[in-house]
Parts: sequence; structure tokens; C-alpha cells
Amino acid sequence: MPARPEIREVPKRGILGRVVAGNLEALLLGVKYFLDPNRFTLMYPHEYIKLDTGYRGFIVLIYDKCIGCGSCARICPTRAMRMIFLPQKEGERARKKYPVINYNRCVFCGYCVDICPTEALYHVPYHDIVYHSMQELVLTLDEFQREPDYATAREGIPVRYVFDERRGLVKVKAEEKQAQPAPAQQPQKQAPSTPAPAQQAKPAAAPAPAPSQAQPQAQKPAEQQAPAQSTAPSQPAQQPAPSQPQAQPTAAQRTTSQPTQPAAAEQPAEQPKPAEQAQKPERAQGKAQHTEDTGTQDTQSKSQEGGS
Amino acid sequence: MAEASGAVALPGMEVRQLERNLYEVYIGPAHPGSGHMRIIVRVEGDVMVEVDPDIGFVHRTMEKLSEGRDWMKNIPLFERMAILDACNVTLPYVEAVEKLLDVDPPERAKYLRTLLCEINRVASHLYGFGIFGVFLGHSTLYMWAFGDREIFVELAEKLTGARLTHSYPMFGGVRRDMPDDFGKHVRKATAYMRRRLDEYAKIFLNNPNIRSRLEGVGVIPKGRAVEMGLAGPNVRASGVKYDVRLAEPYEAYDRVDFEIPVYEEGDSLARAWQRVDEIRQSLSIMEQAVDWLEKHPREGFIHEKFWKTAPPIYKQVYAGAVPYAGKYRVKMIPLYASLRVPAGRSFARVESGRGEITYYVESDGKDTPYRVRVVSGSFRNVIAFKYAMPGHRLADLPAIYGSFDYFPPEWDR
Amino acid sequence: MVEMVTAYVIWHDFLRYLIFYPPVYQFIIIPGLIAALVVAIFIIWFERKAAARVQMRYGPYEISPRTGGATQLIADLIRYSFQEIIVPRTVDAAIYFAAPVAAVILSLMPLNAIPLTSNPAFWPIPMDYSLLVAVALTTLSPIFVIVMAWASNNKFSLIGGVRESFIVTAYELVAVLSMLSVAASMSTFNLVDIVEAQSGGLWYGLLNPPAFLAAFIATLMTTSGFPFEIPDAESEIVAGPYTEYSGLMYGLDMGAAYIKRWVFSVLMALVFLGGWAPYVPGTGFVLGYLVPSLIVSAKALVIMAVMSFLRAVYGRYRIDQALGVAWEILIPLAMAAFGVGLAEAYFHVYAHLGVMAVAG
Repeated sequence: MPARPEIREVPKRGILGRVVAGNLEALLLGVKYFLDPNRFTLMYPHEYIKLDTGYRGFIVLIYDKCIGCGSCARICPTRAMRMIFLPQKEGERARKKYPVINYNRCVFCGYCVDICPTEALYHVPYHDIVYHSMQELVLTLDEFQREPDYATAREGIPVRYVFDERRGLVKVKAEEKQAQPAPAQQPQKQAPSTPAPAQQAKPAAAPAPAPSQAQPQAQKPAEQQAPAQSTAPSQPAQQPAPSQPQAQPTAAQRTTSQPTQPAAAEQPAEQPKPAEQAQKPERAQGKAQHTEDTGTQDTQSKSQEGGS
Repeated sequence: MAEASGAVALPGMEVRQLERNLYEVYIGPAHPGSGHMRIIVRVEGDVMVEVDPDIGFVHRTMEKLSEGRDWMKNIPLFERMAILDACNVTLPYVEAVEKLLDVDPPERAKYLRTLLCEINRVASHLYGFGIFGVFLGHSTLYMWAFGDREIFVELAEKLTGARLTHSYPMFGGVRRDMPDDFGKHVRKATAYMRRRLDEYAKIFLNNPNIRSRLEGVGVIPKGRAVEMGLAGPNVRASGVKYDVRLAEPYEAYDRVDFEIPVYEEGDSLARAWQRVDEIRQSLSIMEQAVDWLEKHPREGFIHEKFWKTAPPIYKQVYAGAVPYAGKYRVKMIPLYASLRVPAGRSFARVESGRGEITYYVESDGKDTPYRVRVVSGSFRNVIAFKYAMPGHRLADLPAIYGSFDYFPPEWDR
Repeated sequence: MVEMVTAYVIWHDFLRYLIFYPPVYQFIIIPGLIAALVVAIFIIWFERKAAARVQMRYGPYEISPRTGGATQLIADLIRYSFQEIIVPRTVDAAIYFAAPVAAVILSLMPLNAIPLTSNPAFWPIPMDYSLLVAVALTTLSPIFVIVMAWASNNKFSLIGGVRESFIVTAYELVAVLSMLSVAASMSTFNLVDIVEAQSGGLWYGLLNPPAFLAAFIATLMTTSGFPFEIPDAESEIVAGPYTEYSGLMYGLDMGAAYIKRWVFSVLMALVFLGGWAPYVPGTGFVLGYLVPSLIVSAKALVIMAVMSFLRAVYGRYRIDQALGVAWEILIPLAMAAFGVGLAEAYFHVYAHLGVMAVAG
């Protein structure tokens, strides 16, 4: 049905009585809101919005999934992504490309994340990071793999905004994740401080599968219990969990895969794989494990192609 | 006083002799009531005799920049033209290029685009209301409009992942599908907004103080509006039944049921009411779009040409199987990074918040456009400053300016 | 023993002849300069908070969350005090500096004529025509706003000054007529008698509401209160006559507007809201001077708070519309109020109420 044009009329201005009534209505509405105000101001930085996983915030690279295709750098509208060359093995003639990002230029459009064929880039759901100089915004490959340190989360209270019919938006405290006993998941905060979890990651890789299997079951009833805020708590609940143990192997890799130590690159690349395999189930929420395995196999095969 | 203002005549500059009684006032760019433009006003006493909008302060050479960027990269570029109306100003570009690519987006994509267009339209009109209120000294409407706009910006954030810079339409479809509980949020937001529109009427539009400022001010009769080529709510408030969604329906507009309000008075009050009614209609379109999207299965969010070569991980990401990657994200195949559009010319238009926005896209087979020409709604409306304002008092300038909802970056590009 | 007596005598004399000396007290302490500044600070805070409550936000908050941002105004005052006063080269320097100061002084002038207690020892200038003198003195200050506008040598200031001159012609008659209708009704110009006539609990605002309404709106017009914020209409003429002022001079300009509003509110509190009415002033300066002045100040503060609240509801009128409102609606209203006052005098309303024996 196409649209229908309809002639309307501005409400007519009445006689003096309407003028008085108009004034009184406006005044009474003002008094009503004076007595019962509707305010949902965010008291930043004492509070901060805990955004959902889908938010397009800062971008982080997963090293071992990147195949160096360069699509992200090609699609970047502002030329914020660049590919740099890293030698893979000593004496190898072919080099592999990796992306680095310049946040001076990035507009967080998310094209790079969307175009990556192996899902090696992901957004972290926060954007309010402060740097001291413009040079710090040009990240190296190391820094690109670390989730930026979210200082606000250390001191502020996370809140979320919930839609409401009467008040429009209502600020509620964001729920923390449900029952995270594993030591690798410290975070009620999003920001891993890399040295500490790096030490815990290796020993935690072993006990990680045990609580991780308890985790999907713990989260399922939690999800059913809170249907009103269905996606929001579960996603931030999972998101820090995979990111830290997941970042740790890559951080461990990072320290070893410098161009000066190409020989060691392959071995740490192999080591965290079993740890990663063990941690895969917790990220998969207990479903689609099979497809996750095929996913890793795909990336493995592609990384071998890219490396050779 | 005008001659004795100490003006220096530089070589090559033409010095005009003003009449004796005219007083030249520069409502310049650094003025609380001017926006990003300058309005040169010549008043005689308190009555404006000549009004000259001096625009171009926000010119960013977008059309030329677009010639150096790939097809896909131009979408975030053109979005910044009127960022509060992001989907509406990039949609004609995407449609024009889709015509050249000979790709018709599937149904679900059309409804999703319509949904975001209407969310943007409500947000854009509320922004216009806010500026309108503060020009008239009514700071409450300013705060209310921007506060209520937050709800729609949050809706857009849930849908696209970014509050204002959506970059949502893509050649062949959209970038994300609707989240699971989105329909619930939309219904709450529309119920809230409907109630708020009544309150806006009480405190602003029916407030005798504001009504006397707006009624009969800046009247543009129907013939004059057509002659000047105005567009958007401004021309519909002068009695002309023109809307691109009516003349040439695009996306899903020929399948949703809505009205196009037309007012005949043509003054500032009619333009304000026109926008209120348009917000109401947009709310109804949003609800209908969400109803359709909830009822129909989640397929057809992007054209097959751009999805059939996608690796399995794309489908996993869409299904939410990769937990750090969100859910319902439509990933792009690498073809987008090196898209070559067949040579040709095409043309598309869309009704944005401020009027009809038109794109002319010419391609010569390469991976960057040859020429993109944009004519936006604000461009068509700015001429009305010159003809609607003279004869009114100086204090009517903000009233008329605010009622036109002119957005300088949209014209200056 | 002698030292204690002399200390007490010195302290007593200090208080009696320096602090509570009526001309000093009235002009400087309450309701004079200090009280006006304190009230201005409070009322600006209240205005921002009240407007914020209506407008879906918090207003001043971060600076002192526990007191609701009350110290924000102190911070603003300190900032104004230390801000550089930039004097443009094209202004007329002597008048540019003298005008705001003169505006503040003239705004405070009517306080010399307003008695705040019925104890004759504490009247500033004992006079039988205090109402008439006070109202007459309030008409003096607008000229300096126009002078400010002219001295600024700026097109926007000039437009603002012209608007100020127009609006003076609008509200002047209304203010005078509505304030003087009480004189018609009670047959006296003496503010003390007027307040004592209302001491029975029946305030004049209830007996003559048109006068109250007209006086209220006239006060709004004179002090740039919404909806009549015309001389300094921000979105049209930047800041009107105050455009070229910065730092403490700008603070003085805003202060002059608020001080004028305060003086009018004190007058209205005495005339329409009963002054210190339920309280009978005693002797001594605490009971006889301080307490009644505080009661009057509290009532004036309520009036000012209502004026501040209107900021959240109304927009701004155009100058010709403001003149239209004044001449077409308010002057007939003020004349009607005056007529009501005369009618009340004719029917000896106050005498019938047994409140006051009126001569004639």
C-alpha cells in the first residue's frame, strides 16, 4: 500500500480562554516534571555504560587466526589499517603480512572486522580510551593484539540503559557475570592487565576446561532466568572470559614471535593450540563445538598456506 | 552608521553603497544563533529588508574526495554529510550503485534499511526541534528533544553497533540483522515517544508564548514554495503533496501503511507541526517494519551474489556461534574491497529528514567512482532564507531559521 | 568590672550604630548588597537546578554532589573575580566602566526607602510616603543599561539597548500602577501601615489578585525574566547590552539584573504578601530588626524562586509582542487593579474586616 497524503490543520488558536488554558497547561506540565523529574544522565566517569558485545569499539587482532590477506587494510575507508611484513622463519624468503592500526584515523566503522575472512579481528565494547600523545595512537603489532586498558572500568560502576515506556530510558546497574570461579577470569573488569594474567594463564589452562564446562550450564539457567535482559548480561558475561585466556596465548606468542626470533615462532604457535582447543568449548557456549573445530582447522590450513 | 563602520576597501573588492537607513548585521558563524553559517542581514529599524545566507563554512570537498576512494569506502564518507541522518544520506548512494551493479536487495534487507531510516528520521527531527527551541529561548524543549533523541540513538546502537555513524547499508543488503529482543525495545520506545509528542505540544507548540512567535511568521505560499524548489517538510507544510516515498517508493515504503501529513498554512507553526506529525508516522512505520521482521525468517539480509561465496565462518558469525564476534553480523566477502562497478550512470533519491536527497553516480568501470554529485535537502531549502525572511522583524530570524531545520554540513558537504 | 561594662557598651554601640544602623543595614546588609548577592547566588543555583529538574538533567552537580552543586556558584564567582577584564579598544572607556557600577547602585537605591520593621528606631529614613518614593526610585536604573549599550560600540549591543528602552516604556506604567493600587485601597503610602493592615492574616495579594499578577509580570519584564528576556536574547543578539563585557564587569551586569529583581521582590513581599505580617516586631535589634527583615527576605525569595522556575516553561517574546502584551493586556489589568483598590477603599473593606481604622 503506497503512502497516502493527508491534509492536516494546525490547531486553531482560540479565544482568550484558550490562551489562559494554554499557559496553565504549560505551567502545570512544568510543575509536574519539577516534582517528578525524569533524569537518566550518565555520571561519567563515576559510572560508565557497559556496552553489548556488538558495539563497535576498539579493534583487537587475534594473531594466530590472521592469514595476512590484507582485506582489512584494503577496505579501511580512512587508511587507518596498514599491513606490515614479518619474517616467519629464519631464511624464509616469503614473509607474512599482519595488520597494524593507526587510531588517529580510525572511525570505528567496523569494515575491517566485517571483512576479515577468518574472524581474526574483533571489537571490544568500549571506546573511551585516553592516550597521552598522538604517537601512542599508532599501535604496533604487539599492542594491536592486546585489549586496550579500560581505565574507567577500574573505578566506575557499570550501568546499562533499559528501555521503558514511562521513562524512556532507565539506568540500571549492569549485572556482573554469573559465577566465574576460574582464576583466569578476573575480570569483572574488561581490561586485562597483561602481566598478571599471563602468569595465571598457563597453569589456568589446565583447570580452565573444568570450570568452563560448568560455565555453559551455569549460564543457560541464568539466561532463562533473566529473559528481560536476554542478550546483554550473557554476552558481557562471556566476552571477558574468552578474551583473557584467549589473549594470553597470543600474548605469550607475542613475546616470542618478534622478527629477531623467527625460529621460536612456530613452536609457541603450536603450544597454545591445545590450550586453545581446550578453551574453545567455553567460548562456544556449549553449542556448535563441531563447527568451531572446523573453523580452527580452516584457519590452521590457511595459516599454513600463508606461511609457506 | 553603515558607512562610518570603518570598512577598508581592499583591491578587487567591490564596495557597495548601502542606503542610508539600512543597518547591516552579521549573524556570523561565531554567533549563538547561527549554526555553521553566516547570515548577512540588512535591517531598517527592526524590519529585515535583505537577508543573504553566506554558506560554505563547512565545505569538506566530499564529492572530490569520493573520486579517490573505492566504492565501499565512500559510504562512511558520505555519511558524515548529515551524520544524524546517517542512513538516509547514504542510502541513495548505495541504491544508485546497486542499480549499476544490477543488484536488487532482498526483502529483509529492505525492511531493515527502512527501519533504520525511520529511526534516523525521528532522531533528526528531534534534533531540529531542539535547535528550534533554543533559538526561541525555550531551553526546555531543547533538553527534552535531545534527551528523547537518546532513546532512538540507543535503538540504532543496538541495531548497528554505533550510535551515530552507522554505515549500515551495504551494496546488496545491510550489515547486521536485527537483534532478538529488538521488537520489544522498539515498541517501548514508540509508546514513550507518542506520549512525549503530546507533552511537546503542551509546553511548546500550544504554549501561547511560542505560538505567537511562530504563527504567521515566515509564510511561504504554495506557489512560491514550488517556484523556489523547496523540499521536505518545508514544502509539505506549504500545501504541496510531494514526498519521494510517495512519488517513487524505494525500499519497503510501498508496503508499509503510513500517511504523509500536509499542512496548508505555510508558516513556521505549520512546519513545526509537520515535523511532529512526521515523527508520529515514522513511529508507526518502525512498528510495522519490526512486526514484519519478527514474523519472517532470518534470510535475505543480503543479496545472494555477495553471500554465496562466503566461507562457513560467516554463517557461524551470523548465528552467533563465535561468541566474541557478536550475533547477526553480516560479514563482507573480500569482493567488497576490490569492487568494480560496471560503467554507467545512475541516479537515486531518498526522502531524508530535511528533504529530498539526490545522488548522481557515474562510473567508468574502475574501482573508484568517476563522479558523485549530491544534492541534499538543505541545499534546496537554503534559498528560502532569501525570500521568506524579508519583511519580518529581526527577532523572527531565529524563528524562521529554526523552522526550516537547515543543517549547514549537509549543504556544504 | 569596668572593662566588662565597657566591652559590652562598645559591642552594643558597634552593633547599634554601625551594623544595625538602618541606612547601613538597609543598603549593605539586609536587604542590601550582601543579602542581594547571597540571594543572587542562591537564586541562580535554584534556577539552574529547577530548570534542570524539568529538563531531564541534573544541573550543577559534580562540584559538590552531596550539596547538589551548591558551591558551583561560589566557584563561578571566584572565576569571575579572577577573569581578565578585556576592554575592547573601540569602547567609550569612562562610561563603559561607570555604567554597570551606576546600574548596581541605582538598583539598590530603593532599599533606602523601604522600612523592614514597625519599630520606628529602625527606619532608614522615616517618611510617610515610603511606597511612593521606593517605586519612583526603581525607575532610575534602566538608563544605565542603555548607556552600556551605547558605550559598547557594537551593533548587537545597540540593538539590545534599543530593545531595553522599548521595554522600559512597556512595563513602567504597569509596575507603578499595580504597586500603587494598594495605596488606593488603604489610603496610605506608608509601607509600615500597609504591612500592619495585613497583619490580620488577609494579605493584599488575596484581596487584589490583578494587582499582584500585574506587578509580577512587570517585574519579569523589567529584569529580563522569561518570557520577557528580550534585551539579552542570546540567540539573536548574543548578549545584548552586555556583549562586550567580560569578567567581573559581566558579573556586575548580571548582578544588577538580579539585584533589581530582588528589590522588586522585597517591595512585592511587603505590599502583597504581608511583609513581616504574622510577627510583631519587638524592641532591640534582633527581635525588632533582624527577624522581621529575615521574614521579608524569605517571602521575597519565594517570589524570586517562582520567577526562576518560569525559565523552564516559556520561550522568549519578540519585542513588539512584549509591548503588545504590556499595552493591550497588562495596562488594562493594572488599571482594573487600581479600580479594585479604589472600590475596596470605597466599601471600607479593611475597616469592615476590623483590621485597621482608616481615616476617611
